[in-house]
Amino acid sequence: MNNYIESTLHEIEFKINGEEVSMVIPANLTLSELLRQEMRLTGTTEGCGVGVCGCCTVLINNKVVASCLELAVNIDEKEVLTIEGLADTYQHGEFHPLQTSFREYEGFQCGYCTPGMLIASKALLDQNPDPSDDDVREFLSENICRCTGYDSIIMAVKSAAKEMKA
Amino acid sequence: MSTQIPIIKPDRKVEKTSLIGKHVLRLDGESKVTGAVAYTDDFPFEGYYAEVIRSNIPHGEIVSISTEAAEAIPGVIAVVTGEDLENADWISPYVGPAFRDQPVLAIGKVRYVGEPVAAVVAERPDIAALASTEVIVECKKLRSVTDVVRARKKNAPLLHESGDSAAIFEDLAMVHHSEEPNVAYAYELNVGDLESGFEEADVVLEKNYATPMVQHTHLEPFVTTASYNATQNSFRIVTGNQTPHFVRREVARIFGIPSSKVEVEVPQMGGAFGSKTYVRIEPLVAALSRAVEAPVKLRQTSSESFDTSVRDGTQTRVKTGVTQAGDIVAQEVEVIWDSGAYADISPRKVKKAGYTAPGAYDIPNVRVISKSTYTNKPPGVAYRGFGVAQTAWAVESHIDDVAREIGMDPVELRIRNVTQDGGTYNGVTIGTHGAPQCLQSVVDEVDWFGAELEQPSKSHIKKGRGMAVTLKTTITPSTSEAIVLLDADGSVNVITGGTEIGQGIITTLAQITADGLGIGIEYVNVNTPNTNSAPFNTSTTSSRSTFHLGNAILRAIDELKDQLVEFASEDLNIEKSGITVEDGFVKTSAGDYSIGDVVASHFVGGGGTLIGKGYFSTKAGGENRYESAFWMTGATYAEVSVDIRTGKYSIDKWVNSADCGKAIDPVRCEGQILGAAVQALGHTMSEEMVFESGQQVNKSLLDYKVPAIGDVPKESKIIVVESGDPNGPHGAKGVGESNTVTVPPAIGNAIRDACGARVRELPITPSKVLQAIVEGSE
Repeated sequence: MNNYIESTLHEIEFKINGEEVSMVIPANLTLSELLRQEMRLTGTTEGCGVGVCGCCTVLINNKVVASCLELAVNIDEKEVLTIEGLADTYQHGEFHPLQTSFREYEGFQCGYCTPGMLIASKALLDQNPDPSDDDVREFLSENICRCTGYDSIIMAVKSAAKEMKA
Repeated sequence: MSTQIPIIKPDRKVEKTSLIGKHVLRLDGESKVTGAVAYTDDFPFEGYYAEVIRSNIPHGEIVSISTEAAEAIPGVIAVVTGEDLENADWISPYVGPAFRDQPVLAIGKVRYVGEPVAAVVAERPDIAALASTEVIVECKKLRSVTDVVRARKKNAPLLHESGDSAAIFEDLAMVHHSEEPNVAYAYELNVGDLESGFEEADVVLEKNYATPMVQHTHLEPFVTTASYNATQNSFRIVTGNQTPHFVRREVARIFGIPSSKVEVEVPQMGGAFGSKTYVRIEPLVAALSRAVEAPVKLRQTSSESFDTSVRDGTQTRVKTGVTQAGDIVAQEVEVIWDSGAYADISPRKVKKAGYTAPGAYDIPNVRVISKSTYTNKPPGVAYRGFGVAQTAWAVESHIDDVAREIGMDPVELRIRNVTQDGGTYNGVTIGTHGAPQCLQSVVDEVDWFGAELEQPSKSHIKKGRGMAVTLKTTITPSTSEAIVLLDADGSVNVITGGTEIGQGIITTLAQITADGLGIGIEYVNVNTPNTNSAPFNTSTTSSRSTFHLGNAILRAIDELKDQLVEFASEDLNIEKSGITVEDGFVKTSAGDYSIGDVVASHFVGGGGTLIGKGYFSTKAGGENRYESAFWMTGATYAEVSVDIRTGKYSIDKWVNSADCGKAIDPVRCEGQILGAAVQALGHTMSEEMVFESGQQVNKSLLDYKVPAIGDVPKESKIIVVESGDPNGPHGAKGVGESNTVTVPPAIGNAIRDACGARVRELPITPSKVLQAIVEGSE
């Protein structure tokens, strides 16, 4: 564990991707640092570092959070979902329908925004199993993709919704 | 020998259907939707971490850099300055693809706000960051120039005293600094007789246009690790870079070591768009690693991307002469590039984009003046569209106004003057390019000459429509090489220097390979490059990969097939003429044998690897006579609603077409077309690096607005044009840039059509639209 400069240590207990974890962490550690550096869960990427690009999106207690801004101590006694745990949230746990549909429609190119985009999309479908195009636009408005032009993402999210209803 | 070739197993499935023109799932898709994909920052790393100290003034002489306080912090390994590098006997600390004008760390002078001045190396990133704030740089301010007009005045402060070509690229061998102050390179093109052309014209129109500096905004920022091996005097560099072989060459050169001692590995990249070309932070990280003799990692923030590489701003004057009948008879384009403090690849940009500055039109009398200008701003580099996005903003806006002057429909004027497929351009015959087809496909899709826009009932909302078309070169000359390794089990590994920046080249090359050998794509692995094994590739830029790497792979496959025929002939004692290789089999009069089995039988010792290699180079003509290996073309139609009370506008519908020659995978081509268009939507509506006194004041994604999902027009049509390039693999060519060029002028033209407001400076903000409405435009 890194000994971060001038920071008190805290013990936290949390659930991540279904697994219970207990760790001692410095107070100034961000959640994205915890995930990427301490837990080696590098699927969560970090883009802008100021909470506007959406790359580092994870769910805390099913709510969408920018993990680059969230302090890791705040996940104490909470439940975190990252891209590494997405497949396990659906039926047989091989692929979440969103993962399958993002591949089919090429709802990604470089893939850097994709984990955040998928996690946010999952949160959308949890709340709204039958979203319209505009619902998708509204919900994903804080997830930037610089490659695709977005239309393939809208198609992928709607296709996954249809698959999950079937 | 012959009997040793086993009969193929009956259960082996062979993909009979061609993979060309079909959508296949991307080979990197599973890793990208599960988060398993590894970008440079994701690899386990043991070593030290760097943080860069940057100039906070636009121009100055470095008086002193005090590093003691930083060095005293526990965990700090070293603080390295430009002076340290200048005094070291192990590095020649200047880099650049056209001129060697850029120091690895500022030496003697700083030339822009954000320029790297020193770097801290520490045990942890947070220590490096803290220590960087303790480094005190004292500078004597010099007069600075931040615009291209003042920069070229007689008494302007000079950024650079001299400049000679770096002599790396054949097309840049002749570049030299101009006599004119701060002009890094001036390109001129003269076709026909401009003056008599203007005399022949019934109408001559002259206007000025401008574009600001913008940044690529690749979501993965710059990340590089370098490990210096003191025993071997060698480097291993892992970096997100589109030109690994250039990195290898340049790092080897500055350290005076053979290029074989520099290993450059490029994993998957989180976007690049031209930003991660030539060398960026690699020489610095290598120098730091050399200085401390340990591995060093630098992960910049996304804000620091704005300090590292940007798209040149431009000021462009266009003068066009046209006859009343609608023939464009003369055009003069003068484009002045705001290239920032270091030239990087701007001389090539000035030439290439200068060459196609007259747009997609066949004009008999042309004069182009194109000047790369040094200013005290961040360096302008390659960016999707490579300068044509800036010149086309001017010319494609201008063409609309020219049409209005003679009372002609702007699309009719375009169709009348667009260079014909295989016709002449700038006075010389060029190959097929597809520009008329791209234009026509959009005209047909929207029924341009038949349909009329219905104006909304609200009188303050005005609807309008606009069009733009483009013709763009690709980097020429250039080289791509490929190695295809056929294993004894019939599977293949493809090794090239092509990098995966998101465009999907891994999958496209796998399709070409699998199709070429007639095997299933699941038997093909395409590697991300490592220069220790990957053969030379000029660059993953200019939408050149499918065309160049695809051709190299086809040649490698031919070589594989020749060898397979030879082996079968030898081993079966059959005449070569009766043997063919198709559908994954070597077919002979003695029976069909799978290609893997032929390899297995020919070699002994438990396996064998058959090596096929392919070299593909394209050559250019003389200085002003460009052949382009292929031409990129495309068109955009935009339909807008403008609120004339506020200047606010929305894009109600758009159609984007681009010629891909032949779509290896239509879905991936569509992704390139829309992706290029939406990036340009940002350049049109919001993106601008705003400078105050030489300092960018919106250096963060908080303040620099790129398109979000809700900004994209809801009604959209993508047209994949397939004109068939005679030299492309299966007729394919590049498709990644055309619509980055055509979107801004199409939208500008639509706004002009809607309400008469002609905005000539990007981005088109509502306030500019409103101002143009109030001033009565023109």
